[in-house]
Amino acid sequence: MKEPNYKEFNYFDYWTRRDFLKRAGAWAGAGLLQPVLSLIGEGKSIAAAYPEEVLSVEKYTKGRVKPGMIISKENVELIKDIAPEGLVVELQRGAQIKIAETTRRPEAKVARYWLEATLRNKDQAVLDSKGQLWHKGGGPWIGGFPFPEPKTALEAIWDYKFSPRRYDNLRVITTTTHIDTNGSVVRLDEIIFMQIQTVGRLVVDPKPIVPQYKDELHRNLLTLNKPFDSYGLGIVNTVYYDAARLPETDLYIPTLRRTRRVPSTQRFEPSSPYSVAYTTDFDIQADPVLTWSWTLAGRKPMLGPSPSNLGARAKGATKDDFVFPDPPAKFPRSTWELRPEMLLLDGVPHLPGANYSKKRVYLDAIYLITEQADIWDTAGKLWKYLLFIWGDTGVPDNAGGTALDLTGISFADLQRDFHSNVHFYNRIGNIDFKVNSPDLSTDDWATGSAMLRRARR
Amino acid sequence: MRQGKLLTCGLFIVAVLATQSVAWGQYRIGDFEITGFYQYTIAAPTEHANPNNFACVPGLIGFCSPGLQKRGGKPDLLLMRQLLDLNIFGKFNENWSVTLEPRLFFDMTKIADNHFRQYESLPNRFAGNGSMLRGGGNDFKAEMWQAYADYRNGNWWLRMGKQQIAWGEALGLRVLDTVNPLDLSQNLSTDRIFEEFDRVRIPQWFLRANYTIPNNTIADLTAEFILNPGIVAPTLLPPQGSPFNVVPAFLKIKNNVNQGEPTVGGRITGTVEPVQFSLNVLSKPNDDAIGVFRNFDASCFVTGDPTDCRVVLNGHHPRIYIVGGSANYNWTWAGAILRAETTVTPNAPFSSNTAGTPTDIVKRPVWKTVLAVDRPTYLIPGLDSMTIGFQFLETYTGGNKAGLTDATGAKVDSNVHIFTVFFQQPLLQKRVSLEFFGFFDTDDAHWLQPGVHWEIGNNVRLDLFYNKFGGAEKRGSRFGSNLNFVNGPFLRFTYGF
Repeated sequence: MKEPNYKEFNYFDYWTRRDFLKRAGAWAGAGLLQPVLSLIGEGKSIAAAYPEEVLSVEKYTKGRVKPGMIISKENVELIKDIAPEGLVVELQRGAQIKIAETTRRPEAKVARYWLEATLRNKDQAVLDSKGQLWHKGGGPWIGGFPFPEPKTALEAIWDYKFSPRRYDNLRVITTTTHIDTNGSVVRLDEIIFMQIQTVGRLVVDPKPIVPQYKDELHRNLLTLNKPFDSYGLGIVNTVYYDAARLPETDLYIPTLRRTRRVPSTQRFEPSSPYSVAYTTDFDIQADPVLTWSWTLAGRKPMLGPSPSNLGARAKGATKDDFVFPDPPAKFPRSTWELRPEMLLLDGVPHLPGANYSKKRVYLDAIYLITEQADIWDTAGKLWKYLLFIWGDTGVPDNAGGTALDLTGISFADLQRDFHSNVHFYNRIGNIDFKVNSPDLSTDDWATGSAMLRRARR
Repeated sequence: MRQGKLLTCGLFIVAVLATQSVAWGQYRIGDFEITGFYQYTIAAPTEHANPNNFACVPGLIGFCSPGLQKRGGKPDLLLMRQLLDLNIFGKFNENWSVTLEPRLFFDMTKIADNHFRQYESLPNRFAGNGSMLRGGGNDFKAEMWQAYADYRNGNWWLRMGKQQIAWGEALGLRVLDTVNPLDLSQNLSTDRIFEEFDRVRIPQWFLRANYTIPNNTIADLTAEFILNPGIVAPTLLPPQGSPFNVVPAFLKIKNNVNQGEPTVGGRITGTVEPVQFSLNVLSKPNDDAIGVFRNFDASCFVTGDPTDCRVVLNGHHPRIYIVGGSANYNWTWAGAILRAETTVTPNAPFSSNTAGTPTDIVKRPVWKTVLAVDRPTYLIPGLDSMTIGFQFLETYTGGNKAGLTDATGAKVDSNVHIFTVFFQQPLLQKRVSLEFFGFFDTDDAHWLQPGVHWEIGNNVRLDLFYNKFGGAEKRGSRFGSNLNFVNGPFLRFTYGF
């Protein structure tokens, strides 16, 4: 039997390594034939910016991988060159994904008002000598991607970290199932997450800055509902605009009946019992930008999750549907597509207790968001794979569109074969998902006194 | 035999509950969320019988044993208890919500252990007991522990009803956290220290009003006002004859709790980064009863029971005023939080004694100060950080202390110095925690509580810890060897939903 020639599966070398090398220096941002940004400005699809072979997985893989095909452990070799290492390990262990056509609309995962602000504010962002982001006129950045054509890893990570969800505020309702190697659910958490941006605001007044919080980037509030002994626990993280400064953490602890400030240094430990997710893993990269060092390891076409993955919002979906469905599974089935250009950002942490040697963040050069990361331990062994999936929630974004937000997360500990998977809902009980709402303000929700007066226990 | 049956019954309940789905959770009924837990607790003594139950007036008549117990000797149990605790939260709209916390107790200690006579677990018959919303018999009690409504509108917050109010930075030390009295009647406050006073801080009928003051200088500047119009509950002590009794058998305290005495106070809180602060004032009837001699009950000469001869004290609760404040500072360079808390009570009450008999109440100033530091530290390679907390408390009592005793009848020192340490080391992705609490009085008294906390899935929690009191110090208020009858292990099974 003829041994497979694995060089045949090295599509990057075959097609596009030369194209990326040729283009380098011509412009900084996404696109091989022309800059993507100009197409976005004209409201066009990205098709003109790339040769057809990177807009079609069938062409890119020379017919080996086609839309509609299921990738599993039997044929995982076909996509090794275009998948993160963590995804390959999951597929080898029994996960399945379906391949779809490449989405060509830039606004499939980024709100139109954010893209418009990006174009409006283009070339107005600067980094100082320490790498801190500013508006060139002085003061905090005013909204939109600061570097729509990132030249460096630092610019690219700022594009994501300035406002990971690109909303002035949002409230999401989630469940997290912790699943062991046998596929058994060992614990279920229910968490309400809120993020309130205090600079770079585009929709909700005051814009672009909340004056009394101008030294902050955003505040995150987590309220835990399950399990029973976490019920009523509140956590407020104040993330500062100074990207070298760790956040402040204030808790409302029900058994103490009061709020309490605690250190924020425990970032490389499980966030709750059983959890694969560390504090540093939230939003894929939760630590302030300048507490890590970043390098741009490369650009290449890679698989990314399709916006058709609606998660628990997919009505009537069963475990067998490729939408990251709600029924618990170690690696819920999902749909993927070839993304024409992915930036590979390698990060190294410089924080006490850090037990990662490297995190590779895969940033989609067109969406300028990250949906995947591989993490290696201090011995250089692959340890974790993070998957954050975006889709259309169907809920109005209060800016003329519908909210494009997370529909599923998988935190995978590949060494223990243990998963913490997050599902998102539009409503649980009398709490609903909302974005850009005038009801969600820092003073009402994300202060010590706010946590005290809203305590459920 | 009886213990065996009860243990079997308890284990059967445990087994039934433990076989439920690990992901079974709280209930939602309309606007209400219902969560809670069932808990089974067993504690056994390792040292000796409680001497307070045998401390009769010597030489009057007969022997003191079995004293207030039915049978002499060390009991088999300190506590065997089942508890059902519910939290019912109803949110009607953005402005209104209501919280109810009913609790059901079944104290099986004296059913399982025939060392004890009948005593009332969780006393019901005392002045001011209407505020406890508690009913039942000697072993079974039901109570509405908390019941309050919240109203929020803009910068205003009102909480009205039976509630706990906890102030201050210190943990496990009653410096600013003195708004509510404590119910020590079941097992003093010797439960898992991580839960602090949550189970024993008596909720009272309060109006709590909060207003966040808009300003450009101090973040989250909030003024708070609290008022209990006069439904007073005192510190509740274990009944005499119970395993945790702290009142010697030769004493009887008739508690004079004046209803209608309000508790009123307030505080200002805010943040001036990197410091959070509070300034507090409080006026209330003293929680602890300060004893004054009433008479000598000589009934033992009639009954023949030596414990029937007792010195009877009136327990008074004079009004006290407390002024204080607290602050915390995020010492980012060290990765630590520094905390400070202080109160001055200019008129703290004490008993004035003549020939060893408390005859009057006098007032003395008392100044308490706590300094604390919390720092998570990576001690053991490969493991999560260990939470380490350290507190130092100094209590200074001013004025002439000759002949003074405190609420426990103990002589008063000018300065009392206490150190507490707390360690918590998570293991196995935080499923298991090794915990240690140490309380050290420099006059040679200590309380140690090592333990293990194990979380199994969503619903099951197991706790095993050990209380050890010791040291040469024997005064009642000093957590020394006067409490070593409590020494022993606690095992708790909790099933939550």
